[in-house]
Amino acid sequence: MNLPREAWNAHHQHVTRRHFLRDCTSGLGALWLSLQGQAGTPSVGRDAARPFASMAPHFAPRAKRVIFLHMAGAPSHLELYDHKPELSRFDGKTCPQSYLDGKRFAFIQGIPKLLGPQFPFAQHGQTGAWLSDRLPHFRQVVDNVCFIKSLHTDQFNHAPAQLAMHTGFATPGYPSMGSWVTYGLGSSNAELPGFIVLLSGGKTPDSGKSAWGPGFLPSVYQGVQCRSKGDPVLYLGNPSGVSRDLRRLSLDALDDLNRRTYQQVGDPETLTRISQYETAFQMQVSASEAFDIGREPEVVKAAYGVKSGEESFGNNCLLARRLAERGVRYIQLFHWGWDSHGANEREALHSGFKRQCLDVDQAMTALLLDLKQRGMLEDTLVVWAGEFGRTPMKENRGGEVMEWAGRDHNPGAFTVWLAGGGVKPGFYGQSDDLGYEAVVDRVSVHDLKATMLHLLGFDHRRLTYPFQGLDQRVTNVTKPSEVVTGILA
Amino acid sequence: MGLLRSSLRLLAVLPLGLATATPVDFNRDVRPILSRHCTSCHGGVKQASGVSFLQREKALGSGKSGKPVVVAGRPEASELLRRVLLPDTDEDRMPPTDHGDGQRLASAEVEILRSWISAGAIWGEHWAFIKPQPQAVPTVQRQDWARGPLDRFILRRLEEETLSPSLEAPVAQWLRRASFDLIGLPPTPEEIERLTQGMETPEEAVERLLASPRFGERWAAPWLDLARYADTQGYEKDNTREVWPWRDWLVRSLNADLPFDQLTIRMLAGDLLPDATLEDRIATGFHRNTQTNTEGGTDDEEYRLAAVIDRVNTTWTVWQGTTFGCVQCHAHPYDPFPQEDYYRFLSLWNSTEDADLADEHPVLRVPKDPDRFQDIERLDHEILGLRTELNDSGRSLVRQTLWQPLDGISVTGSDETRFVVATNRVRVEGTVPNGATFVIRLPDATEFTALRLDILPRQSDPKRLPENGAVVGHLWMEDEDPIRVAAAKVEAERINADNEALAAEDAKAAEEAKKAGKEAPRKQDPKPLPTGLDRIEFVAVYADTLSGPFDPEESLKPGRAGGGSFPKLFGPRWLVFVPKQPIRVTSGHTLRLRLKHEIFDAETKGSILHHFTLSTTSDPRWTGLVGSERRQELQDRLAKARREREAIPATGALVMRERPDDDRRETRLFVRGNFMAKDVVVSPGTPRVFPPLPPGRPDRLSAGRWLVDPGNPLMARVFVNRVWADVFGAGIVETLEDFGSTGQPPSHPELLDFLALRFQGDLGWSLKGLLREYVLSSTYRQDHRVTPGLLARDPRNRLLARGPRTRLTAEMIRDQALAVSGLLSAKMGGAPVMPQQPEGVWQVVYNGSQWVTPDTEDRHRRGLYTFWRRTSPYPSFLTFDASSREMCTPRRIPTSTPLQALVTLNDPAYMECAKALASRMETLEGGRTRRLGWAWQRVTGTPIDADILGRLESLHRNALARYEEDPGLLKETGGGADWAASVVVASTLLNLDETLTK
Repeated sequence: MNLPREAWNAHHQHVTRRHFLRDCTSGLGALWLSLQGQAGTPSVGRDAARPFASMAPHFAPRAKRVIFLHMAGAPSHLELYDHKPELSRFDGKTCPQSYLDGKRFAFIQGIPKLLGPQFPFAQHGQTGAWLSDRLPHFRQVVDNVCFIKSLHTDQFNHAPAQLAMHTGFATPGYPSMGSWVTYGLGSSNAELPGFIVLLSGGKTPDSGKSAWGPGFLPSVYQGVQCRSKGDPVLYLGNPSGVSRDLRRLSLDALDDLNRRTYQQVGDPETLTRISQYETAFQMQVSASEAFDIGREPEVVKAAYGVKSGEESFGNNCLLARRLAERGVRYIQLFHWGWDSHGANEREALHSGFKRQCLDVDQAMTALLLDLKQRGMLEDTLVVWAGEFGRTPMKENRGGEVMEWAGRDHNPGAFTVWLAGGGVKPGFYGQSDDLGYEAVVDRVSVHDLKATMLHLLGFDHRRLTYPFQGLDQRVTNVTKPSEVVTGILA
Repeated sequence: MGLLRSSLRLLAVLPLGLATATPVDFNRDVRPILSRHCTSCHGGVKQASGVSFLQREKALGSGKSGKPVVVAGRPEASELLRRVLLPDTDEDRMPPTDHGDGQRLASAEVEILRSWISAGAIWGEHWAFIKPQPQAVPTVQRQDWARGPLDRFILRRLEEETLSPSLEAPVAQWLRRASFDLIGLPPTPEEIERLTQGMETPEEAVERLLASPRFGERWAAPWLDLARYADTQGYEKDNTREVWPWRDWLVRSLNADLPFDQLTIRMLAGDLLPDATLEDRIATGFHRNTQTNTEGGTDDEEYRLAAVIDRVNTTWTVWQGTTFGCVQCHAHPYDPFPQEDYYRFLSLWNSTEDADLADEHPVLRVPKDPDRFQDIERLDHEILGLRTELNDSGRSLVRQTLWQPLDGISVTGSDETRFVVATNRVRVEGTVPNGATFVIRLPDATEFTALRLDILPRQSDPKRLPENGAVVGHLWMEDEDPIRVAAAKVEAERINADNEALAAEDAKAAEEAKKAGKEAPRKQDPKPLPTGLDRIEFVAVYADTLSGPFDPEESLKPGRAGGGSFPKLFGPRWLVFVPKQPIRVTSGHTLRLRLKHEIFDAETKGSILHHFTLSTTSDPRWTGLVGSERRQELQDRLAKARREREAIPATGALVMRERPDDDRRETRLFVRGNFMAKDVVVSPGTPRVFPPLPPGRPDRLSAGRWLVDPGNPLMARVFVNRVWADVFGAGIVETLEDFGSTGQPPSHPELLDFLALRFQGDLGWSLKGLLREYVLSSTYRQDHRVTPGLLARDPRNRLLARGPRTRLTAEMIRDQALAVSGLLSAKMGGAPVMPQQPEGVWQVVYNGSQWVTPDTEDRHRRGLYTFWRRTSPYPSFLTFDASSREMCTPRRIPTSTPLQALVTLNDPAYMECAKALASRMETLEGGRTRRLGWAWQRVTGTPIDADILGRLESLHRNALARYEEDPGLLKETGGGADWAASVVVASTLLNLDETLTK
């Protein structure tokens, strides 16, 4: 019954350390990723021992990395970028029935009133970009920015819309854009995660970790949520009494013992684990250094409005630049607090919304200026977006007049902007006169992702992974999607 | 090309290889083509151009073009075939070039469609919706390997693939795997020794493990994921809740091997069982793990419905492995469920008492001492019986009473409120402040023995959302003689002045105490205000129903809730108030009825009466009823039983409770799943593709009985598959959560049917029985070592030509570290605990709860008992793929990341284990060799050999040298150099690949 251990060892004598080293970097590793799925083959062949090895995309990329600034809660395009003088004329008027028929709202009931833009607009820069007075810093950089004013989505609640924006699907369990991109391109710094997530605004976005989850892709491609307070990555520091050289001693022993296990058992997961421990060891140094914004000159910190020790959007923007410099492939920021329903002070356009604008205006401007000055804006794609827009109607929650001015969720139209990474500054698309529906050159959230992938050098139809019988892709096989060629430089 | 490649590969990998000689089978050959290329546009949701391929009738019909899509027997007349054969340039070609990758169907696929239509376009129901069929145990060539039928199914497939099973695993390897799979903990060296020495057989070892109380803890863990169990309410505020008695019930029930059909019925509807025990009621906590939203301004009805919808979806995921949630908004895109099916099933779950209330009503008070369970059962039964009997005596009299409208009343209240009175009907308009009192002046010469208040909705459209609730906080009468009122006012002013003086004294005393650093003295009781107004209290309240969180009799007491409807008013309600003696108002006096609203908060706002009528009767039977000896006796017994129950120390447990038959909710279809857009009323039922509900009242209990009925094709399959996945690394159906047409087909379909029938038949739904067969099978006992050749053939071990090797779960990794270091507490059950966690992880915005790690054994409890905050789960568990428990999680996908390495290397909780393990090593006699050998075997379950020993010795030696040369560093460890070096070794052992896998 019981096979003596010696016999088994004899059976495996041929697996030597030399074999291990060879297998580790060739055959077995490659198998690991190609066979995680059920059917078909993934479009990217990868080596298990080096899952973040830098790889070439389908064609020459314009952008090498992405910084995505997600304004969680969905800011009002009508109070920031989409200038609608017509809406002012109808302020306080009863909303025409034709705008309500067949519409679903999160909170609006019955017949609401229209709400004019709450802040004055003016044109800025060579491109004559319209901005409201809520973004005074941003005026400086509008000539670097392309505004798409015809974004639309098919989800009208936060969590599903955030997921649609990042994964292409409204339900959890699909890989996010950052996972796809690091899967396709790897990372140019093995000592930092390739896909890093930074949160501010006091709350995790509604969709939670699913917005940076790996879905059915190998889990190494999940976004790593880092903290801007304390250890940037949990458990990064060695325990007291364990110095770095002692850690090395123990990892050397661990490495030897795990290699032995691999020789005996042959499980490729062991190889992955070996490489993860090495990465962890390197990460202890490189992550600590990368996350230390205290090393930045005062003038830079001042430009971003950094407040040391706080979890702020300004700090995260500066961190984003530091991480981009160090070769992190996809940096995803979430800044929560834009859900301006008007249900309370925090959600009021004239209170909480104004504070949100103060939180981001200076920092996002500084980020673009800083990237530009360092020559990084050329190959860094910066994207600013909420998950949907807001209604031109004033919210009347429960059919009642509300004390504060606010707007309900509007999947029909919103504005996003892109900068750098091969994007042509200017404008693209239009919403209707009230900013309610995208009407000219409509761009879906799937088109946006197709375009981002194009800038990164990928045909979105060919960056696929087999799952549940389909060659899945981030642009969602059930939704037609196209590259927005009109914004390419 | 891409599609051709993937479809061919799919067929090669799947069990159902397509041989050209066999006739086309719809499920095997045709459905995958339709699912892959067609149903995303021509399915249940989207029926582009009126074409759908979900049901045969539809597919054989015509689209908008009028051309028949499929004509049985005539491929040439079938539009389907014509369209897929059109050239790429034709815009009518299917699938359209701008869909998916734009590729046309592969010619092999077209040929399958052609043969299928030629042969009559015979449809087949999806395999998972047909009952499992008895399977002949396969004959196999190799006769000396299989121990049971399970092995023969596996072996036959291996022989078909010309693969051989691996050799049997060394017993230590098997025991480690079986120990984790059965009790979630590693075997001790002594246990391994007994097995290797033949002092215990594997069969005996399995019996020992199955009998261990650790078994229930191990198998509760996946259930907590399924149940989305957490110790907080979820959503934004995420306040703490008490539902852990359910978790303890689960552990007890798994240990007692409660058959799965019984477990199911109790979890879903234990409260509805005849003679439900306290345990049965606690069991229903399963579905109270839904989230509760207590944020200001949220609509309790919206989140009540969100919880009901979650229950329906979770039930289907857990028991049916079906993505039924899709049907909430629309017909299922891929499976044959029309939208109405969803709401028919939902109506079975729509009449429970819970209503998204901040206090989580209904909460069962569970005795802390299990020996008192029977006392509580008896008392609860008695209390409910007495209360119902008391109320029923009035309910029957109401129907026999002639009620007279109370004509001629006038009503006053706050200045902002307007009262529109028509005879005895009052409509309330304008703003009604929270806590408002309505003063109703009764006409002169009123005489009555009982007063009836009918609470009416403001509007009667049942498709609209229900109104806010209406609750009579306190109702009493006053006879206002002007002289007495004046005297009372003077008296009231004097008492008020006295009370102010008392309050000033209290404030001063508190200030002094604060200065002295002492606790403030107890405040003095204020003097009561005069009841100088001649107050007539009612003595009894009868109500149309006792449903809801409040007892109608509370309307007799000030400062409380009371009769009415809360938090929503779904329809008319009535209350009857009875005075002790008949009321006769002589002319010239003024009788006033005062109705005070007491229930309001940020979330629900005021529960105000907006529309009501008043009636009276002079029927003397009411006076007789409230003065009867029987009533007095019942009331005395009720008071006594309540006192007795309150005296038993108890803790809260969230449970399901059904509303009484007189107050069930109506269920309407929601247009596009939107709770604000109600459509037609639906009657309770099950999806039509499945058998109907058993006879009797349609409710949760009938739903549970329907699930466990052998006629249900899914439940047994889904469950044996889930346990299989847990033990063998992947399910026979890999998509544990989706047995529908978009899920993965089974790798061993006959084995799945065999196991399902065996589980519900011979094994009597016994989890322990099922596991016994799994872990003692030859399949499971195989060595997990793999050759490169086999790895290339079957990298994910779906064919099981080797033993399973999987990473431990988050909980197991923690429990193992505690167990091998000797720290693990054996304490079972109770309130959740807070082990070590980094500072600042718990960012609690809305309440003051703190993460406090105690210095008791609660610091070292099994992972199962760790406090689970939904918005901030225990971070090291999340890193090892645990779920945030917001939704039902049917499977955790195991990952491997550098962050996991940081947890087991640096998390102070793991350092504590390394230190404790080192201390155990240091106590052993026999020198370094023995210590290292013991620790290696304790952690990995295998004996140490010379190579490993040498490696560990050199690690210890080098670490020791390092500490000896750096006293500062040594000081940080808080121990001696030998010990500190052993800590380094121990930490290394806890991070081995062998340690983290089973």
